[in-house]
Amino acid sequence: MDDLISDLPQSILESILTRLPIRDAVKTSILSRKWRYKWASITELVFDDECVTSSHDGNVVEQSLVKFITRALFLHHGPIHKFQVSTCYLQSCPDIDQWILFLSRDSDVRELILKLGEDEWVRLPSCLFNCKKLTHLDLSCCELDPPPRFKGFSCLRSLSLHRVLVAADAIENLIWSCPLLENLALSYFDDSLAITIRAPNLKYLYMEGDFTDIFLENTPLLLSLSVVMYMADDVAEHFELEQSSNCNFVKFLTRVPRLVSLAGRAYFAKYLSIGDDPGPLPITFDHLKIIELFEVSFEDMKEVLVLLRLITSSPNLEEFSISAGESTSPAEAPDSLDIWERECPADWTFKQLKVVKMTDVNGIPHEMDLVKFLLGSSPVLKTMTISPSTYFKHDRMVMLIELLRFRRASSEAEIIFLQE
Amino acid sequence: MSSSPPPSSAAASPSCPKKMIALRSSDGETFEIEEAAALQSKTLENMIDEDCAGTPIPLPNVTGKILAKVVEFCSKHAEPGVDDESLRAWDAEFVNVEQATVFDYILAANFLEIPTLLNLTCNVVADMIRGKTPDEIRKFFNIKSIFSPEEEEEVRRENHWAFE
Repeated sequence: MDDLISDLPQSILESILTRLPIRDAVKTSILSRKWRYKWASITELVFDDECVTSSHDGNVVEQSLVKFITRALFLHHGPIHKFQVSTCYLQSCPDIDQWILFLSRDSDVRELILKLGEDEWVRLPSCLFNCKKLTHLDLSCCELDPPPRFKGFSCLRSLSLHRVLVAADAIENLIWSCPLLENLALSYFDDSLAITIRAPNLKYLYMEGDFTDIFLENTPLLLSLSVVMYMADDVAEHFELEQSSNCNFVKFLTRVPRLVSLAGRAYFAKYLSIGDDPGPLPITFDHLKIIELFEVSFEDMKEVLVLLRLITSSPNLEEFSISAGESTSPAEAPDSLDIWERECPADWTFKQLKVVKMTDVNGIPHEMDLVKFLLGSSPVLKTMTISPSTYFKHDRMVMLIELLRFRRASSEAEIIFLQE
Repeated sequence: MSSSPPPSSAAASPSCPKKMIALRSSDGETFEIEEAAALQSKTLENMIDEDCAGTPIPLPNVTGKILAKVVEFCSKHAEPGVDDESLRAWDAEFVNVEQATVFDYILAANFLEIPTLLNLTCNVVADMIRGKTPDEIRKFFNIKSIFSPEEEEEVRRENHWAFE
């Protein structure tokens, strides 16, 4: 049999070698004279936990890894399009500065991923901002300080910052100065953050952490939004007391008319409920197909109203998932129970709604009213899945009996009740 | 479910015949492939755009034996309604062939610019390399190592940090 591999064009070999852990790729240098430097011109360098030597001593592992990366960079020749270091074994080490300096000199690098150890956060060097061709930047556990004259990454499409120490206005400016930005993920900044996002091409936004305020000032093309919003107890209380008439719901959602998918967890529903009820919304979310809201407090009439306004502004909804939060406040007075009749538009139908999932159900009146409303207005519904909450102490039979009576607009609808 | 009609003539309804493209291999065999399947290949997509009134597209770099399999691959991947798991299983069977054939697929996928096939076959070759010692790799691919002992020593020294 002939040697069919050694004479493959470099582009194919590149494709093969970049699928190997980098250590294996470098080891091919010993195969034959032809192979000596084939590894050295691959355009993607990924250093992760796979290239870590086995040792119980964290220091030894770190030293060995630093040596490995430095030597690989030194022997490499040709452009580097992707550089990734993602391992918890690298804590603060000054060599990172030199690696980034090396990358920024040729400034061919398009994807830069740095996910470091959690104990000490490296402050990334300013030469990082010289990497003009960056399309993907993914940083985790480090400190970022854009220089004042930084004009932005003109090619950046995707930005992910996780546990990054950076000032709020620095992030805002960074986002604003990357005109092609489509994909943005922000999670767990050090302090609770109030942030304004201006990104005219943004399509996908993911936010998780402690935010006091999120203002989507200029994101008209947004397709997918996912928010996990935590709040410190004192901030939450402050929101309760605030009598602002400025409705968060309107402020937050009316600037994203093209939304296709919306997911919110933790305090998100509560955050939206702050401010006065806007009444029926002036816009409809014609493209919104998927809504997932978790930890909604069904005992809080304001949150229920937000839910109601949201779903009755989404005529083309296809999938709806909702879960109830822990009951914190005492049940609402009975006279609020007719809001579903009062506030839902008459003859409302969800023309496309096929799948509904309700979890952590407690069987309380507003939840049952939601089920009744959904069943009665979804002519193409296929499945509704209901999982009771583990705290559901009431008689489940009572809830099921009530459920059975609800009128169903879809003759094909299956109601699936999940036991633990 | 979409309410607008299918955009291209390639999406066929039972009454309307699918558009077929003719391909000729290096050894003169002709094959027919549905347009939707042919569009998996960027090379063919470009050639179809510059339509040459239905004459078979000559592919001098691909033999009949391999072209037949490539057509099969593209057709399978253009089939609607195949779930991911069955497609993966089908792919695994497709590349369960001898080494020389895998490399023929790679070269064909490269020439015809079929990303799915190139991905699949490069993964296969990477799996063949992963975890093997240099000697095992040489043996597996029949790579002749013509290092002199001094050269080999030099390379080992240069890359000792990777072998540690």
